[in-house]
Amino acid sequence: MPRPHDPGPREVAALHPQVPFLILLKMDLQRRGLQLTPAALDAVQDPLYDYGRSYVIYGQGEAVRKNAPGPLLLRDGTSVLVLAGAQTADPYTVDFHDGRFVLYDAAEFIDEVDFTPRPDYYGKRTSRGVPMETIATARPQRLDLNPYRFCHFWEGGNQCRYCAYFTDVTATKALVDGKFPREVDPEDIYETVAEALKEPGRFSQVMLTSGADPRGERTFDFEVGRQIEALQAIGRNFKTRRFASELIGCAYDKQQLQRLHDETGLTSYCPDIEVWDPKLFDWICPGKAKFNGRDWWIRSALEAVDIFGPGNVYTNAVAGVELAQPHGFKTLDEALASHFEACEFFAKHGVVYLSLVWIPWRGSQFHGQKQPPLEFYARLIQGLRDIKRAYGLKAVNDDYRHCGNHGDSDLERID
Amino acid sequence: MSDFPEELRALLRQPDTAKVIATVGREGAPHVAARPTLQLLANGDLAFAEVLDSSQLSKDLVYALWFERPIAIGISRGEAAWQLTARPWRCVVAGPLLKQFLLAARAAQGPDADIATVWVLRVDAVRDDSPETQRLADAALRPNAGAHLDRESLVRRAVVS
Ligand code: SF4
Repeated sequence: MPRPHDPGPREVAALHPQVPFLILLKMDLQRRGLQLTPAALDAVQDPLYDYGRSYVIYGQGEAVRKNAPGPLLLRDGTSVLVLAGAQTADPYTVDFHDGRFVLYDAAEFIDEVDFTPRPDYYGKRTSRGVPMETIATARPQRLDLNPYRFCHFWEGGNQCRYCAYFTDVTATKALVDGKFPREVDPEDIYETVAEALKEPGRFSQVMLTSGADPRGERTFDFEVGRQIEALQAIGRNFKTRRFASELIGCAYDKQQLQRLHDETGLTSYCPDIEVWDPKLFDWICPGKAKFNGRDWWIRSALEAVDIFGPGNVYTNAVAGVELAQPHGFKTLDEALASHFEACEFFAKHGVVYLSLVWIPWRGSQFHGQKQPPLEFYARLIQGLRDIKRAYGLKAVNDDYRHCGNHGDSDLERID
Repeated sequence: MSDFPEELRALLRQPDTAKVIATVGREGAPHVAARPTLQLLANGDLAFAEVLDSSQLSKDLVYALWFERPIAIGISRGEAAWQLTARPWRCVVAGPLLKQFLLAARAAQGPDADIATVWVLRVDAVRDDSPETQRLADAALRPNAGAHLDRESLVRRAVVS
């Protein structure tokens, strides 16, 4: 059966001349995924590109059998965090010829691309013998740490319905000789960051994220304690009190946020709202609804602004997931209106609302659901950028160099 | 890729050569910026280090790359001058080229020097823009036109005794 027509970046760019082709291409790569030809797969075994076997445990499905490359780089320097294993029926293809990587959509040449060079610390071990790339993964300019590799929302089936995090833990464990404990030793974190910082100009931000852990005297106390330990371990590497950093975490109360601010060098905080509409939030994020509900997650972001300052608090939305069926919005316009309402609300309070492209990963409850068309994302990112610009907000932490996942913050590059 | 005459290659290697990049941004405002680190890469592209993503030049180059607008580059030293038309081709955020420019910046300015990106520019046209070359070209095109008639090489001065 022929695939229904799905307008690609060139067609959508013609309809939305304010949105550059490269941003649309990035979002379409996120939507449709990527595969490597045998020549490209051979080329990324080069030490310049070889990221080792992928330890990123985000719904790889059939994990690549050879060593995987790091994030894809487009010519404007933005990175695309897609794994080289097709998630959809019609992924883009990267080939390698004449000494360069080239991107194709079926037989159509799209552009020259590249992959993020492997950082120098990959392949090294901490003094406890742990491979450093299992402690921190590298984006082009950002060091990503995951101090706790389990999400308790998965217990009892309360995980977010789009989430495929931790579904590949068994495979990942096998890749690192079973050395994959839930909890990462802060000394391993300290040593890995120290090693990573030996490479000139490789990193300009540290990002921490973990699975949710609501346990503790107050909800999320365990999680907060662990993040503080990790941030303090990282902080020992710096002469200054604060270092460019972001914590993507659960929604903490004011006292917990104050601790994070006062006891560590953290500079920005991001509790993800994921879905704005109250009913859809409860349906799509049952763990967040249970601990302690949408209002709590919103309040946490707002209270964090008093502590970290306007523009230093972020919240992500998994854009498109609000159209998941049977309970989601029935029209794109309703979904867009919901995002714009959320963005305006947060912007008014100094919180930067960012969109991510929803991927119905294998291993997630929403696998097999239909994604919105690319044009939805073109309209979305323009609207979000305009709202944030009106409030003088710019995503300096989650920009193209550090995160690369957000079309709306990409647009801000020329503002 | 354009051909680079040896004279231009030599100029690009000289530390005291003026190297300026002219752009037009989203709002249509022209902008000129000097970038002394501009140099020729082995494949014929040009590259330079940019310190900030927030500089007007960075923004304009992103705009030019996204929307396929040309930029102009001026290279000059003494009487020598070259005019290049180019496209921003790649914004490098990590890897060997970034490291090379960063280490050069640190060698020159000290260990706290920093850069954000390296921009790679693809040159489409190269033109000798020196005053002498322009004069000769103009003279060949329209001899006897335009020049002031009182120039020493033209005018016969009456000898007044
Ligand atoms: S909080 Fe939700 S998205 Fe994050 S790891 Fe847990 S289930 Fe997945």
